[in-house]
Formats: sequence, C-alpha cells, structure tokens
Amino acid sequence: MWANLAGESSNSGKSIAMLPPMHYDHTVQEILKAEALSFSIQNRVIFSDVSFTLCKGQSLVLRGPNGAGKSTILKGLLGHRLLQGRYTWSLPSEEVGYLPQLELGDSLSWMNVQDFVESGVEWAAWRGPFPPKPVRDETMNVLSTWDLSNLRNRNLNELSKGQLQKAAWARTFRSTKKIYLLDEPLTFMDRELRAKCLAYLENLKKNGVSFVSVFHDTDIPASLEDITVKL
Amino acid sequence: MAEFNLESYLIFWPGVVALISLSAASALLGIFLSLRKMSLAGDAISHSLLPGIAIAYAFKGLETGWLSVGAFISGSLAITILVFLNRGRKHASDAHMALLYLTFLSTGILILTAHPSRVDILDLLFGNLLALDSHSLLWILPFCALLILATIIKSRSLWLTATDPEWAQYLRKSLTKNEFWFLFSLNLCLVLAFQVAGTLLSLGLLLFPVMTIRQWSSHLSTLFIGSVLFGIANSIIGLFLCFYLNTPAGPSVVLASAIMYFMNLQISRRFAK
Repeated sequence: MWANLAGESSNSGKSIAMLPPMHYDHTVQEILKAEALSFSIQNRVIFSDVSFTLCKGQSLVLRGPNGAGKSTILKGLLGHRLLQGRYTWSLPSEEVGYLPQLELGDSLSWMNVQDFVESGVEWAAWRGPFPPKPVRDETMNVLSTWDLSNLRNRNLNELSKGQLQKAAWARTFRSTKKIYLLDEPLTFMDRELRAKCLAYLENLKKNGVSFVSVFHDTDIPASLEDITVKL
Repeated sequence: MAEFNLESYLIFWPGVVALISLSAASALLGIFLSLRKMSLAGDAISHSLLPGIAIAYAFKGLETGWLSVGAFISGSLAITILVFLNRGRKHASDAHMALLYLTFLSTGILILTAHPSRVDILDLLFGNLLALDSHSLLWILPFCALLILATIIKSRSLWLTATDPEWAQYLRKSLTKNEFWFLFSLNLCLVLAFQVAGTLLSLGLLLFPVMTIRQWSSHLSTLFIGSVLFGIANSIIGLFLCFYLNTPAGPSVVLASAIMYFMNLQISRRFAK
C-alpha cells in the first residue's frame, strides 16, 4: 500500500519499494527497514546507499548539509516521493505521524490557527466545511494544551514563525501515532520552547514511540539520537 | 426611465430563479478559485467558451442545450491546453493565459460574424438573463444543485489540497484528482453562468462574493455561508437595479457585487481600527 501512495511523486524514477506484509505482527520490534535508498534528480545523485533499521522506541536522526536530501527521505518514506531502493514498514500507514516543514506561501492568509490545527484530524472524521462538534471540542483542548487558545482566531500570516511552528506541533501531535517523522521540528523556536518540546519527545519515546527526524542543530539530548544517519 | 412596476417583471421569474441558484453555486466554487489563485485562469476559461457556443449556434441555432454542450467542449479544450502549458510550473504564466483567451475569444467572434445571425453578439458576451424560459430551468437547477452538493462534500479536500498540499498528501488526498475535479466543476459552473452573465462577466458571480466575505473572515465555514449569502444578495440587488434602471441583467449584478465589495471593504476597515 505504501508504494501506491507515491501517486503524486515528482520524480519518475523506477521504484522498487516493497509492499509491507499483509499481516503485520505487532510484537515485531522492527518497524522500519530501509535498504540502499537513493534519490536523484535529472541524473544528479542527491544521496545514495542509505540503509538503516529502526526498532520500536528508537529515535533516528538524519544529519547532513543543506540540500543533502534529508527531507526527501522523509517524504519518500511517506510515499510522497519515489525513492530507489527498498523500504519496509511493519506498521499500517495510519500509525505514522508527520511534521513537515511548512511551505504555505500565500495560503497562510487563508487559514486561522483553529482551522490549521483541525486539519490534523484523520480524513474519516468529516468531509464538509463544518467540522463536527467532538472534533471542535478536541481542537479546543489541543489548543489550550499547546498554549494557543488566545491565537485561535488569528490567521497564520499574523503569527510569528515560532508560533506557527508551535501550531504545526499541535497539528501533528494531536493524534497519537506509533512513529513520527519530524522535519526540522525545532526551527524558529526560542530556547524555552525548544526545551519543552524536546522533553515532550523524550516523554513520548519512553512510552515506546519512535522517531525519524531531521535536525539541523547538534544540541539535542543523546537519548533522542539512538541512531545517526549521515548523508 | 419607464415607471417601475415590479409586477410586470414577474414574467421573468425563470431567469430570476436561475440567477439565484447559480449565484449560490458560483459563490461556493469561487472560494476555491480564489484560494487556488486561479482568478485569471477562471477568466481565461470563461472567455474560451465562446468558440464552442458560436459553432453550436452555427449548426443548431439558438438552442440553450446545444449552446451549453458547445461551451462545455470549448471550455474543456481550454482547460486541457492550460494544464498542458502549466506542466512543470506551479501556476501558468499570465501571458500564457492571455494568449489562450485572446485566441479563443477571437476565434469565437470570427465564427459568429462569419455566420449571418439574428442573435445579438452582446447576448453571448454579456448574457441575457431575461430571455431564459422555464424549460432552461429544468436543467440549470439540477446542475446547480449537483454542483452545490458536490462542492460541500468535497470542500475539506479541496480546501486542504489548495492550502497545504504536503499535508493533504500525508492524509492521502490526491492533488491531481482534486485539481481535475475542481477544473471540471469550474467549467460546468461557467457554462451554466454564461447564459446569465455571458462569457465575459460570468466570473463576477464566482469571485466577488468570496472577496467580500474575506474582508470579514477566512474561516472555511464562515466563507461557505458568507459567500453564498453575499452571492444571493448581490444578485437580488443587481436584479432590482436591472428592473428599476432598465439595464442589462448581467452587468447590473456584477456592478452591484462590486459596490457591495467596496462597501464591505470600507466598513471592515472601520471595524478593524
């Protein structure tokens, strides 16, 4: 199923991404295995031969200079880009959370904080323009947890970049997943908020949640860097 | 100016009903048109309906059904070319769009003038709402209802694929499918609207209501309700203008919408202070 999600890929490279097993076993500790991943744009190799194995409760950090393809790996693992090589998930796709780098452009003025955080809700919850009451109530809770209640009617273009990043955290972490893919999650945040957010991640990790993350900064706690993959 | 007597205008009820239902459907689609920054593309598509209409007219005469089929085919062709020019870019360049609609528009006008016609070319360009008969309603109304219903059902995915494509993909929504669906409905809506406001003005029904409500809120649910209300209100005010001043319906509605927009712009600025 994951390989089929690549419908929107921008790269027409040949993919041999493997399908996950039909019956996944929840006792299996290994949740993601990547073998010899590579990615190239117009014959220019961005990265090649990236392999790793991620087990339950582990945190993997992708490191490398700008343009090394760190974000592309995350997008590839989600099926948004076609990577060469193979990756195997031992989890259903519903168990994977994602914190993308926000590239909203002009759309920022079309969303207020509440809409934005509400857009994190699974598709099945509602379709039309009006979110049902349970969803709205839950959003209020999430907003107050993340200290965003007073900003909820503001458009995203009226927020500072740090506040926007905090809203992105609220959107991603409002649903509980078994693994999160985090793309530079701490950008634009002040020192105090960073510490809080790192503590939040460490707490999740203690409960068996796994992470694949891209960090630019080196100063993250060692407990959040079980595996380092250098690009 | 003729003495104003509302009752004498009651014979135009099919046009009035068509206009009101169309303005509701167009106002909803207009939200996504404006959100996708495709206002100019919408303009290009609506202008591109003319050759199809002209060819249908040349072969079948002034039959609303055939005119609409012609318009739809012509619009689809324009969209295909637009998507083709668009390939590899985020937005088609405005020059491409100008090229497209100028080409289509002049083709349409050439066909119309080459064919000796009794129909006033102005009716096709600016619409003739009052000429609509009750038979046209039989298919305008169901299509409007279908558009409104489908847009409501698809609204979350249309909204998300336009505002945050990356996240929409993560929630497993196809960007291509949504874009196709949107362009298809846009085409349908413009085809329905050309009889009311003509190929040159139909975009006004789509764009002005959402621009007006955007002065007040950008919350999706507010936009939905607000743009429909403004769309209907604009049409009614425009119709009164048209009846009272004895002006053509299409331009009156568009002008009323523009006045409404500027009024709201001023009032909302006052409030913001």
